[in-house]
Amino acid sequence: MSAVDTADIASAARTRKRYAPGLVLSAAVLVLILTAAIAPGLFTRQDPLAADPIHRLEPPSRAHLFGTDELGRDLYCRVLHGAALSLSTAGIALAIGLLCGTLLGLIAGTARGRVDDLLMRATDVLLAIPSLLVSLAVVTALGFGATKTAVAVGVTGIASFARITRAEVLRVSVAPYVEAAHVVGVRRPTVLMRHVLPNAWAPVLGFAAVSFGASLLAVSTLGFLGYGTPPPTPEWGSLVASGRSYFAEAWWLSTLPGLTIVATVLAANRIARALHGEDGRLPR
Amino acid sequence: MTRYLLRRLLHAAFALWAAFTASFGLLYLLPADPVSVMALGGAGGGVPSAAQVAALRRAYGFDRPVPEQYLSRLTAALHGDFGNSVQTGQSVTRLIADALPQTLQLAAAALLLALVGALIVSLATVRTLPLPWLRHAPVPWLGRALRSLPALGVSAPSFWVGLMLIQLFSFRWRLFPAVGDDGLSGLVLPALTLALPTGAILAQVLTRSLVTALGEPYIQTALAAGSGPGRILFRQALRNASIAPLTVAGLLVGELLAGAVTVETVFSRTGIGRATATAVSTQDIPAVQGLVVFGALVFTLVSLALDLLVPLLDPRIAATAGGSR
Repeated sequence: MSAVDTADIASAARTRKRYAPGLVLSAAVLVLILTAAIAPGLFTRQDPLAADPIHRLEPPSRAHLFGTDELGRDLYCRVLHGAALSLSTAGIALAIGLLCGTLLGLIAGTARGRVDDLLMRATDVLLAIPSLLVSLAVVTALGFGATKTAVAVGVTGIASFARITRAEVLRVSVAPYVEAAHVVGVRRPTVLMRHVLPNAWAPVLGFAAVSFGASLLAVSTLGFLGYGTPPPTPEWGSLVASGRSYFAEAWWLSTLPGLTIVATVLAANRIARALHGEDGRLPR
Repeated sequence: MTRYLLRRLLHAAFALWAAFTASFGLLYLLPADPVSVMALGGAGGGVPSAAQVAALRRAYGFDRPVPEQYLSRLTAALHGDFGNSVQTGQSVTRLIADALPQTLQLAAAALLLALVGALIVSLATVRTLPLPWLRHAPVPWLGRALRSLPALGVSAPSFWVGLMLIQLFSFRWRLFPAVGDDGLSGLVLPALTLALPTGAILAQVLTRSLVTALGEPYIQTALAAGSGPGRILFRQALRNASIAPLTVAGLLVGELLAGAVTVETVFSRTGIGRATATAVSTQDIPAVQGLVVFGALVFTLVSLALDLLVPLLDPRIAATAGGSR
C-alpha cells in the first residue's frame, strides 16, 4: 500500500505532458547554439577579433545585440564564435570520461575478484577528491589550453561512468539470456559484446546526456579561471572573465556570455531529463 | 561497533594514501620535466638559466631515483610537510594554515545558507502536492515553479552568479562591498554564491526523500491518530526524511572547498580557493599537491564523521552496522 502511495505522489509531482513547452524551447535553444557552433557566419557577418575603438563599451543595441567590449569588438559575434570552442571542449571531455569509464567498468564487471576490487578502490579515491581539484591538478601537470582543459574535465567523469557501467554489467550478467548464451557455448568476449554491452548501454548513455551540462559548466569554470585558450580567441568562460575589469560601467560584458552558458546548460539538462526519464529510467 | 570504527579508520587512511600517491604520480611524474615547469612559472615567464634549473632540481630532489623521491615525500607528508611553494618559498603547510580561517568562515556561512534555503524550498514544494490532508487546493503552477528552482540553481555557473550579485547588490544598490574579505557584510554575497549550487542539490534530495516519507504507512497512522498537517510534516515526515540530505550535505562539504576556488577569485578574497587558483596559475607543483591532498583530507574526515554520526540519528543503521560489519 505504501508503494502505491509513493508512486501516486511521485506521478502527481511529475508533469504528465511529454512534449511540454519547456522541452520545445530547450530543443530550439540547443539547435540554435549548435548551428552557431558549426556555422557562426549564418548569424553574424562581423569578425570576432576586429577591434573598433570608436565604438568601445557600447550597450546592447540593434547594431550590436550584446553590446561591445573594451576594444569595440562585437560581443554577440564573439559569443557565437565562442560556441564552437566551448561546446567541443565540453564534448571531448564527456567523450574521454565515457570511453575510459565504460572500458574500466566493463573490465571490473567482467573480471570480478581482485581486479574489480582494485578498480573500485581507485574510483573511490577519484571520487574522494572534489572534481574541480582533480581538474586543477591535471591542468597543473599538463599546462593550459582547450584540449588540456578537456582532458582535465574528462578525467573527473571516469569514476562515475566506471561505476555505472560496472553496476549495469553485473545486473545484466545474471540475466537468463546471458546465462543461456554461456550454456550453449558462446565464447566470453562474444557474450560480452553481443549480449551484455547492448543491454548495459542505455543507463550509461542516459548518464552521459545528463553529464553534458555539468561538463560544459566545468569547462567554462576552467576557462573563467584562465586555464583554457588564451585570449583573444573567444570562449564562453574567458569571455565572462574578461568582462570583469569593466563590469562596473558595462553590465552586459559578463552578463550576456554567462546567460548564454546558463541557457545552454538548462536546455541540455532539460533534454537529457526527457531522454533519461524523470526518475532515472529510460522510457521504453 | 569497534570493528566498524576500525574498518572505517583503515578505509580513511587508505583513501588519503591513495590521494597522495595519485597526486604525486600526476604532478611529479607526468610532466616531462617538472623543474622547468616550476621554474618557468616561478620566473614569471622568463627562461631560467641552466644553473637555476640544476639548483632547483637538487633542491626538490629530482636528481634522485623515483622510488626514493616518493618515499621521502611520503614520510615528509606524514609529518605534515608538503615542501615549499616554488612561488613564495613559504612552506605549503603554512600557506594552507594561513588561508584556512577565511575559507572556513565562508564555507560555514554557505553551508548554513544552503541548509536553510533547501529546507524552505523543499517544504514549500511539498505543500503544493495534492495531498488531501494538507487542507488547501493544490497550486500546480506554483509547484512546477518551485520544482524547477533547484534545476536552475545547478545550471548557473557560480562565477557568473557571483558577478550578477556584485552587479546588482554592489554596483546598483550599493548594499554590500563587491570585493574584499572584511567583516560580515563582505561575507554575504560570496556565501550566497557558494551556497547556491550546494543548496540546489540539497533541495532536490530533501524534496525527493520528503515525498517518499509522505507515502509511508506511518503518515497514515499519524493521520488516523488525529495529528495536524504541521505536526505530520515536521515531526513525522521531515525527521524521517532528513538522513539522506544530511549525508549528502556532508559529501558536499568537499564541493564547497572546490567552489571556494571560483568564489574567492570572483570576490577577490584571500583563502584556500584563491591560494589554489594562484598555485595552478603559476604551476606551483608542491603547493597544488598540498592543496589537493588537503581537499581529500577534508572530504575523508567529513565522511568519517558522518559514518559515525548517522547511526546515532538512525538506530536501524546502528543495528546493521554493529551486527554485520
